[in-house]
Amino acid sequence: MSETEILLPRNQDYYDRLAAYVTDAIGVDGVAADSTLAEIHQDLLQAQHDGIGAADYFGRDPQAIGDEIVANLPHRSRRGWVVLGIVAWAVCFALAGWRAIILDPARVPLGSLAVLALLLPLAILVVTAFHRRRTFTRKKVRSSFLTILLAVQLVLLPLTDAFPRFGVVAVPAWFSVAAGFGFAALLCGFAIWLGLHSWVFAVIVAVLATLFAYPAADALGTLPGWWGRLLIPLLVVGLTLLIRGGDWLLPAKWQAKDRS
Amino acid sequence: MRRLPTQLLKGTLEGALLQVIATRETYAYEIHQALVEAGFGEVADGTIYPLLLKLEHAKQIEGERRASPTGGPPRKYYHLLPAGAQALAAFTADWAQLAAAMARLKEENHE
Repeated sequence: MSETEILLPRNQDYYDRLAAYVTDAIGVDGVAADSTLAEIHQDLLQAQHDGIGAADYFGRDPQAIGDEIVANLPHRSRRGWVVLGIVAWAVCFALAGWRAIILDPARVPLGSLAVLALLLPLAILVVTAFHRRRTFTRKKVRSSFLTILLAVQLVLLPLTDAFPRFGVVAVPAWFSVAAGFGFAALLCGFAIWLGLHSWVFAVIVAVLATLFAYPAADALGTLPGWWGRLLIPLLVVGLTLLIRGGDWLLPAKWQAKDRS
Repeated sequence: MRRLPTQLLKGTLEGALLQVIATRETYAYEIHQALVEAGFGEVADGTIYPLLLKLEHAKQIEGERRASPTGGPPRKYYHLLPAGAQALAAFTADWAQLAAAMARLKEENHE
């Protein structure tokens, strides 16, 4: 069996569903899950090489097998949950806060945002669990990331607008500028550190970074005329090139380790 | 070959995995093949993985990812740890007792 052999579409579909079901399980150690899935992938390749289909070889009830694998994989520790909870709260607070600043910097409800930043991660867990339940029944394998993104954009964020506003403060322009450019720089740095060597990933991150950088540039009051209209495409292209360039220039030893 | 009842297989598969790994350092696909060739019937590979994880978690076996000697892609090779050898010895003793008891019952039935 060669290292370049790939799974046939029906076997790949079987593996993709199992992999999605295992990795979407809440609290499972991601590194251990990836390692086990890599093993399973190799086994399925070898079985296919020997003329055996994935379902015949691995079992006709992948959901039950997935449940047993998840039950036996290491899970996040209590300390891990606390760290994740704090990070999730901070990220949600920062993102929701930024959205509030863009909408109206003179009336940013810090108290409401602090509470919403607690509720949003819980809602995302519920959406992930709901998405995972349908892994084996939906027509095509779909990333939970897309479902979460849609749920946040179309349901959760509009719902937050109906939340009572309290702890309202006015945010000074200098803070908007520093936070906007700061978040954009953080995102680009994170993408360079990840080192995925992918143009698609670089463009996605560049678009996200532009969502931070453009309002910051706007807060500087320097966007009249053509320069202002061109700034969004210029930022997207410039940041994409920055990420790809940084990705290329940063020595591999300083980038994230490949887990596969 | 008859398909063994799930409950019977569940009770013995853990010991069988330890026995295969005790014989030689091996990976999941080879373990599956060894079980099929030994006459365990069509054991789904999916039932082996949770057990390997369980045994690894209990420090009875240890997995190490490395290149295949035949030149194939890297695999996770498992070997037995002292706790695994103890568990295998206990399982073998239990199995011998069970087999002897069953044999005696059969003998009594013939008499």
